[in-house]
Amino acid sequence: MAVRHQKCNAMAASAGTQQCSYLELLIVIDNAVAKQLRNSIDSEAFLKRLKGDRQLAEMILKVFLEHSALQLSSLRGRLDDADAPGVRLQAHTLRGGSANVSAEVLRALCRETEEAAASNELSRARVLLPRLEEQFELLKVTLKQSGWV
Amino acid sequence: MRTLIAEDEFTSRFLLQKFLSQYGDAQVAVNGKESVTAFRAARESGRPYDLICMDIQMPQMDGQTAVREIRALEEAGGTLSTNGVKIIMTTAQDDAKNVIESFKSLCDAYLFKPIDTEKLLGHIRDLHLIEPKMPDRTR
Repeated sequence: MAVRHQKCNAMAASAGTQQCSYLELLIVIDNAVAKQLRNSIDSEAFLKRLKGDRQLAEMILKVFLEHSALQLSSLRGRLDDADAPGVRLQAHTLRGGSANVSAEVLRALCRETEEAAASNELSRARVLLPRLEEQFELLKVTLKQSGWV
Repeated sequence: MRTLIAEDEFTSRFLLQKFLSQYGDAQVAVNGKESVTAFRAARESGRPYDLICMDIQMPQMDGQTAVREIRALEEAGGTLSTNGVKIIMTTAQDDAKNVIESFKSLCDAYLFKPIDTEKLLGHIRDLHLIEPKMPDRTR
């Protein structure tokens, strides 16, 4: 199977110059999704900052998911209202939470959104919002799959 | 140790409150304005805070303004900032400029986010709010 994965990765890298079977394509997609899931949170770093307190980590992740959903919704509302300072503060708040749970991709996207709003580029922030929402969904899946929540 | 946590972001607030409540009463404020009100009320009731963990970017009133107001209240009451409440500013790692401003505003230490409980405990020990050899209760 590992050889097959390597072959498919190589195929993916050659970006359409070769054709691969449906099964091989599924494996490529599966690998890509698994990689995305792995990258969505650095749970080792998160746990280390809490001195290995798994119970506290689980509680924090639970409240993070609940409140980030609300914050994303608020962020969308502020974008709809074209409220640049509001978008900036909301993205900053979400960035703080993401940093605390070591959700590094989400944190980076929040920072980009914050910077876009700070320079009054709301069209750029609007482009980033679906990516933020997608990353948040990915994080939820990862945390469920890995038994954190 | 009585602590006030001024933080608008729920996860940070929750983490700090859970951790600090192991060492005493830990109360929360969701913005700078609320933190000044809570500080004043605690002083007037005769049970002042020993420590304030203050976020910088918050709605209504930012952390730097709140620290200035708190120090002004202390000064008006005859307390020098060196003898006043210990204040740890909490800020994102990439907001170093804000940290420098915070020291100008008379805070005692800063803690970068993401919050590291070991570093927080180190600050609390350095500020003599708990005994240097007090056991780490989270272990």
